[in-house]
Amino acid sequence: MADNNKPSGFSDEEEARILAQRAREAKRNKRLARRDEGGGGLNINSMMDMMTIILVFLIDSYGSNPIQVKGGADIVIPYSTTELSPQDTMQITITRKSIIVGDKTVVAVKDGKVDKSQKKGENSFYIQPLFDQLTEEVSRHRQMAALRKLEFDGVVTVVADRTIPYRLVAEVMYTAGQAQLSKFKFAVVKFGRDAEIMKATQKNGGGGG
Amino acid sequence: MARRRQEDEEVELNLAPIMNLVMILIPLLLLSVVFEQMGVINVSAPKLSVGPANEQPNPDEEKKLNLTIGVSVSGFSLLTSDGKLSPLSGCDNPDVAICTKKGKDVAAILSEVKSLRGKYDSAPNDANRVFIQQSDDKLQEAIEAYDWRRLYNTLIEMKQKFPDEKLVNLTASPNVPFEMIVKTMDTVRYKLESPNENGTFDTDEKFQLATYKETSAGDAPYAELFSDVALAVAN
Repeated sequence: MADNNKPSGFSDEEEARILAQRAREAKRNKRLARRDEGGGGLNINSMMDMMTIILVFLIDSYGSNPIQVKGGADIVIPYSTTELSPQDTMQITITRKSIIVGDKTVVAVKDGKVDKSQKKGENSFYIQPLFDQLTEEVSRHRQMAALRKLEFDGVVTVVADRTIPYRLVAEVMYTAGQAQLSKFKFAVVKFGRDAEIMKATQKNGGGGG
Repeated sequence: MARRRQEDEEVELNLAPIMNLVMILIPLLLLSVVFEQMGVINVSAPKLSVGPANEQPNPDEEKKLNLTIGVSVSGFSLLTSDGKLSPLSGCDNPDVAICTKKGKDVAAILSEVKSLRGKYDSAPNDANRVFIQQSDDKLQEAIEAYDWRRLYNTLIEMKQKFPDEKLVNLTASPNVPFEMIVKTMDTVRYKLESPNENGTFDTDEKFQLATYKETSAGDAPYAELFSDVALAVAN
């Protein structure tokens, strides 16, 4: 009894078997202990929490922008210090290449002009294909508003490239006005006054030094 | 012994597959996130004809400012109910009230913007993207050629005479780029914090570095100057 490792009262054969069993058990315990210490298993619960928060944040910012800018490099949106946020309205996009209503390309634009065959003469503000498409969209939006028992507000968001001449912007707005869209929102990239001041400071500093 | 261990240990969820999923979703969403915040500017519809209204002016009614700002390549012209503003000192062009800065030919700069941007339009490939950058830089140069400080000073003086007036009509020459319209609306929207008593600015540097004037009155975050813009088309 004094020596634990040496079982007494067994035959040699049984003794060997018992010793082998003990050795196997010790080995197994050692392995289990090592796993519990954390050498193999990482505690990923806290990491999981973090990831979930990031995921929720990203999904939130993914769906929150109602303005879809189509046109790739053909459109560069102007910067502005405005504080207002965009709303989900009808949208007219004026790129360097075309005028787009919603998802549909309506008229081609070349050098900041719509071809005069699409208008009632050179000096006209009225772009016929744009008017047709807008009328269709307006009646669709009217129906949708009526179904939701709301009044159609006639708001349209105009997304235009920085270099589009004022003349074309005015033509689009006039045509939209003919299609009973009376309130306009110009889409811009928010660039706060603070950022503007910072830019000016850097510029002045660079010029002085 | 094996049974005892099973009873003691809590069942642990295998989170590895969920982790994998999340790890894939995060880069995917991160790529599609646009960090530039979009905004909007509210404007009213253009009126085709700028001229005297058909209605007879009501003598009882208070006199309105009825301000119209015109942006052209030679500068800003200002029209109020008192008539057209005559050119300010240092401006020798009778067509405009506030000239562009001396030695700057805005028309030439704008045509350069147009031709640079046209180079990309005619051959839109990655190598030509540099032209977009160059035309943006030129456009910035054109913006800086305008005397925004004097426009602001003139407007703040008008605002003192008509404190409740917020409406401004904005018009521009046909070839003035959209960016200039937005910039003009930015300049006339809010009051700035000024070191001078009357709210004006003496130097361009001070004007550039001024912050918006905070206010507690009204819904707007800052003190409003002419925040209600209607676009007009001068024929």
